[in-house]
Amino acid sequence: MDDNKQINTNDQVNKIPEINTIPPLPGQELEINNLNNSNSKETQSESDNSNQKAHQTNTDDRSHTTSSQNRVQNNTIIKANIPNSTAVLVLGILSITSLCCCGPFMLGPILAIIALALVPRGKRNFNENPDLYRISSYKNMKAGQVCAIIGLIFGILFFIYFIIMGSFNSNNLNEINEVFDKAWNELGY
Amino acid sequence: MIEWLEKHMIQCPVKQTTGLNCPGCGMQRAIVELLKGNIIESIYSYPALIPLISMFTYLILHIIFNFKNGAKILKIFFIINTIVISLNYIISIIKQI
Repeated sequence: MDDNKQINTNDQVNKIPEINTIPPLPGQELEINNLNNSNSKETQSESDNSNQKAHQTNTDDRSHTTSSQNRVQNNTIIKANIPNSTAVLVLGILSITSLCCCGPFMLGPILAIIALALVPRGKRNFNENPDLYRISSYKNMKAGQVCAIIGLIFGILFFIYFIIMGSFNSNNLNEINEVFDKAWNELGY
Repeated sequence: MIEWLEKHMIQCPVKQTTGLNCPGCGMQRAIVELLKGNIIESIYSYPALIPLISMFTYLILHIIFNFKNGAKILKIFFIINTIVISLNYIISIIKQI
């Protein structure tokens, strides 16, 4: 039992700097309920100082424990979006341009491939520590992935169709038939 | 404005090069009809225009407000759009023949 407790405390200690190292993105909304911004700044500064100062008085120890409790609360409260989740969604839905316009110019499939290339990194981040990220952003990423796969398949199908039928369109077909007729006549059939 | 748009319609580059209808044919006519206010004629010329516009507006609203089931609804919108566009395109091919 003692070993398990020690492992748990070590896990908490290991998780705390990961939260502090997350870079604040411009579109990222941090949900802080029971804390003001000033308090959170103070806790960050205290955490920086606590790493530097090894010896502390009893009052400093009390403040350190309160700050660590706040940080544990932050661990449950603050949840960030998965990086590039909205980008995957937008690119996956824009890959419908493979269907409606510029289909043969491979614009939609390119967007779909970019979206699918961004997916595995976000999934790996979510699987490593799913408590840190919002579930809604994970759903967004999944929907973007599905849309990108559909757009990619239809884009490639239309591309193949246009290559085959564009080379055999009505004007060219007559010329090809004439060439074949000449060839058959020369062979004597 | 609408008259200017009607005069300056872009010719489809796919039709110029390959001589085939592309799956987005009729969209410009549908947009002009929709701006005039003739919804039924716009649906006749390109049925997938209104679901497309609604999907993109819903996407922007979902990014701003984060709806609860937004991702699911967007997925359903996307699948409906693909079905409508591909069916419309297959019908147009059959009409050409």
